Amino acid sequence: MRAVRVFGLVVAAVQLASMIAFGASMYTILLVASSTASGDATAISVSIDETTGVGFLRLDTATRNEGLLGVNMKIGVYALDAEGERFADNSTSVHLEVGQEEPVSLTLRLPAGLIRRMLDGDGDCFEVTVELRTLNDMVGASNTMTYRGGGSA
Amino acid sequence: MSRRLQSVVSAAITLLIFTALPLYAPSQLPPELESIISHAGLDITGFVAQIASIGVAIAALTLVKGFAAKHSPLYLLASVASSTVTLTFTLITLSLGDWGNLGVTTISMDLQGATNTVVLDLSAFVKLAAVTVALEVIHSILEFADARKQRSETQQLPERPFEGTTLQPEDQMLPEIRPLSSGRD
Repeated sequence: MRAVRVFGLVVAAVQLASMIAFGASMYTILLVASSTASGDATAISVSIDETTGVGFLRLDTATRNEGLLGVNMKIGVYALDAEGERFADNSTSVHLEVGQEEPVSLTLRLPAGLIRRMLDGDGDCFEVTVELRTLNDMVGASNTMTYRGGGSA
Repeated sequence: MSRRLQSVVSAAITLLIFTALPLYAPSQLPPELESIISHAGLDITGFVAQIASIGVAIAALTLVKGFAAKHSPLYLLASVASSTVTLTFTLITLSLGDWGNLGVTTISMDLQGATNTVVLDLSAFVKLAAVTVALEVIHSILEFADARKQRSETQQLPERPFEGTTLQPEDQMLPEIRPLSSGRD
């Protein structure tokens, strides 16, 4: 009788712990994602050096963890061909402890003609990916923004 | 509070939270949000219907558990079914209606000149829920076995232990009780 009761308490404790873990990880992911994805925190700029014929695709973001758990982040900028295959990339990984801030800056060097084609939406495009993992990398979320050009995005 | 009354209250609360509330909530969504949800490819009506039917099932099983004796096979069956339905609820909720994804949900939205794809990986919680449900089932079986054991022990004890025995005249003779003498008499 007593053993069954103790076992029931253990089951209830496991349920409670999983609920707390779920709440804490969702809260952390939402806060980190919203602080990173906000317009003030992230900027994508394109510049072309006409003299050298090189274009630069630059991503500047300020990552901040206001959540309850540590977060592993992977941020990447990719160039994609018309078939959606990545042919150029620049990515970085950061670990953010609770309350930590880390500015991230990534630049993709591409031929100026290619950058122009991307901006015109002529087949090639570029992609920005933010991956977040928390709770010992067991829970995660990723946001991939594919810019096809030719629009106002 | 008796077990039956407790189960009725619990079933009513379950129906309110898991059935009435999800059925009512979509009507209160702002049209913009509704349009975003449908644009993201989420079937909100189907999701709500799944949650509501699970609410009805959990409420019914709560009532069965409240009214069935703890040592009856029906109680065990209702307990195991209740745990299984809870796992289904977790799976559907974490997969946003598409339980086949096993907790990995992909939402894709086309914006002006861009595509935004969000992937939520909550599969760890689906696995954790499966472990918890397995533990719950084991607990239900142990509880059932314990209730049956207790019942059989109770049945072995006669309800009226002195029934059928008659008092003999000598049994009726009580020893004479005398006050303790002080020794002065």
